[in-house]
Amino acid sequence: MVFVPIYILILGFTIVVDYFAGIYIEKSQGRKRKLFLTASLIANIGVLAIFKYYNFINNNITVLLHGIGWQNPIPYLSILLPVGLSFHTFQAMSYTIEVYRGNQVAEKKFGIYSLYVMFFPQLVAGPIERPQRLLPQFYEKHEFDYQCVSEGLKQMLWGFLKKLVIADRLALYVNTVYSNPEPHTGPTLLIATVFFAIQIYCDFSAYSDIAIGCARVMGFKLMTNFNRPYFSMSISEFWKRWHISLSTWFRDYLYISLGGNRVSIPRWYFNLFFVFLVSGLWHGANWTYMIWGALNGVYLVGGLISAPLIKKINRITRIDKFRGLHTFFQVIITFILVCFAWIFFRANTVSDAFLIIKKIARFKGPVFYEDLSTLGYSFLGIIFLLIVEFKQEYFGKRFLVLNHPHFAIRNLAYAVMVLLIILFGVFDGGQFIYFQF
Amino acid sequence: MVGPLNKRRNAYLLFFLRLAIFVFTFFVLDALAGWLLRHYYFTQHSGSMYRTTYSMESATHDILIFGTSRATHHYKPEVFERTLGMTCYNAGKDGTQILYHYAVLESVLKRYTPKIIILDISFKDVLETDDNYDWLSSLLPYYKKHPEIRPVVDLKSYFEKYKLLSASYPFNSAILTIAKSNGMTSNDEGKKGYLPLEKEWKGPLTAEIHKRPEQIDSIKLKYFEKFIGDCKKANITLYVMLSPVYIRFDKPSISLAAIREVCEHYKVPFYDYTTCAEFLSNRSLFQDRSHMNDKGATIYSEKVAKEIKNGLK
Repeated sequence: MVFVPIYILILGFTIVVDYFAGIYIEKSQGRKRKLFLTASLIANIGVLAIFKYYNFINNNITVLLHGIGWQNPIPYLSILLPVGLSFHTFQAMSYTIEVYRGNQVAEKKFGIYSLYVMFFPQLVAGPIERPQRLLPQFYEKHEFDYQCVSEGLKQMLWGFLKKLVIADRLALYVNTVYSNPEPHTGPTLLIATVFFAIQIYCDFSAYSDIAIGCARVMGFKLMTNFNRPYFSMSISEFWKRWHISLSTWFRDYLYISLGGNRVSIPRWYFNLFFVFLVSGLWHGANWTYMIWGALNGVYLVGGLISAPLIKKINRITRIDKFRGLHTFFQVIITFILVCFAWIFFRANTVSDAFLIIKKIARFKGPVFYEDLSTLGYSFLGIIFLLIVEFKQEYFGKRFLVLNHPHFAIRNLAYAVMVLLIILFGVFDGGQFIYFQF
Repeated sequence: MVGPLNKRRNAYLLFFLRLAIFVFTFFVLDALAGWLLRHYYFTQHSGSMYRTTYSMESATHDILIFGTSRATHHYKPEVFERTLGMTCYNAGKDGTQILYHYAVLESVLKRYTPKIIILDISFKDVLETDDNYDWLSSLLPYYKKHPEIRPVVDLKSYFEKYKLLSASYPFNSAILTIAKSNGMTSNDEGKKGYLPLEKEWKGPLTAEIHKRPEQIDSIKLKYFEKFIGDCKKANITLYVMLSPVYIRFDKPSISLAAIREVCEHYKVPFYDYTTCAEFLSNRSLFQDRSHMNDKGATIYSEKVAKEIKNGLK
């Protein structure tokens, strides 16, 4: 993932193609409409394929040919992945598909369409917007609105806190352990895996908060991308709360196109599995992402198959009578399943992932820490996040701090949050994880 | 009735008024937190931060040892004191590099002139690394009090001086350590900055692997030269040492060549112990590939002290 100025031409290319594709799709009838849509999709997916998947595919061809003693004649490309390519490509594709489906009028103003693809708060890591939501907002007059500015800044502040205080702190431990899992023990790897689950959530949701907040300051409303996913009681609920803009993109444009659930049961299961496999591939050109996607597909299909059995068990044991306990167990089981899948997402190679799983299963040895304070700050950060999100999840509008009716309390809360960032933030940290996609 | 223009003006007014109140509240809180942390930072009586403060503000020893973790774990002041009959303090610090050593030296030279300085150099002291001088953060609490270190700390980033408008920023990520060190009784007195390691290395002797091609960092090299220059100016006998490692160097290193060249140019004694067979043949003297344990440190310190004693004769 890199920013190379000349790569702006790639963005320019897809913008021009999709702008004209939209107009021609709207003007045309019958097969011609499909033709223009196909051309637009090929251009978008083609760019993605070249920059993101070409070397991955070629590498796998090389391995296959090597197995039968042949040399791969196809050369590798010495190219870098442009920043945010997967995000703006998907946003551009949603536009032409919606115009084709008749849900969106083709945008005639080139500048407005370009802005739709390049709207800076969400250009590099989403939320992946839909034309029906975003395009009309570019025609509205946006005057200074105290409420919008205040809400936006608050959301940005919360995003900065999650990123700098929690995600980047956890990254220090996770990166040390996951970059070389071989010498580490099971307990260390388990802690690093749980830390990564929290890190990736805080990192990515923080970016979304900053993007949504930034747009809000200017008077624009972007879609919610995260809704406290680790309080999900099932994997299917998790995917309704995690990276919502991507999940709904896949639902609207791939899952439904495949027939969704209005097909035979085996085909339905296949559709679900296939969508998650593609989602894995979207995240990166690596088998680790593919397995992560496949695993989530298996979880979902497994959940559907086992649903009647679980209902029966609940009826017999009457566990659902103890609502709090039942919820707690479901949340924990979902979190464990998600963490297990994250091992593949974070590991550098598939063999590293299996080594990590093996070591965690054995669960022997001491916990590694280079500096006890790294673990201390990490746990403090996680506890803080848990308290905030627990309150938001189960107590709604009670115990408000940032939105307290009294300005003095709100003001004190903002100042304390900035102070927390200064005192506990990691300022020499890295990029947002999702920039690489 | 309030017109749209007035409404907008009122919204702006309300926003900027509340922003001003927020900025004021923040700076009051920040000043309070900064004052409290500064107080407790300088009342620490053990740990790494305390050792930095002691080196910069209190040490008056004849011999000072500078360097990274390899200095902290490799040089036993008691051995030098016994052999040379001079007082000695180990001012090394984990995870630092030459710019840090230079800044500490500047603070020391403002107060007094040690007779001997041993600089345990590491390859990272002259090479480009990915850390963007992040380790200079450990000097931030001294920025206000010690103007002599400011040019070095400013190398961390262009924005450092602006970040330092916040009184609590210098104590970023330091609260737990400050709390711990204030709660502990001092254990640094007898060891004089030396931190012994106890474990024994079990791994084989392997070759050095560079994660990226070696590239000389011209700023670090310049400060290495400045370190030598300032010692010479103050008539301090300086020894540049490369203490033992349990690593095999198969390829010629450009960093080693650069260090050697600078030392030769300034006619400073340079001792390279990385190829010393006595250490390379005995892994029980090491805790890991880069650090000797207490047993190794004792043998090594005796060797260096004798070498210095011979040199002084």
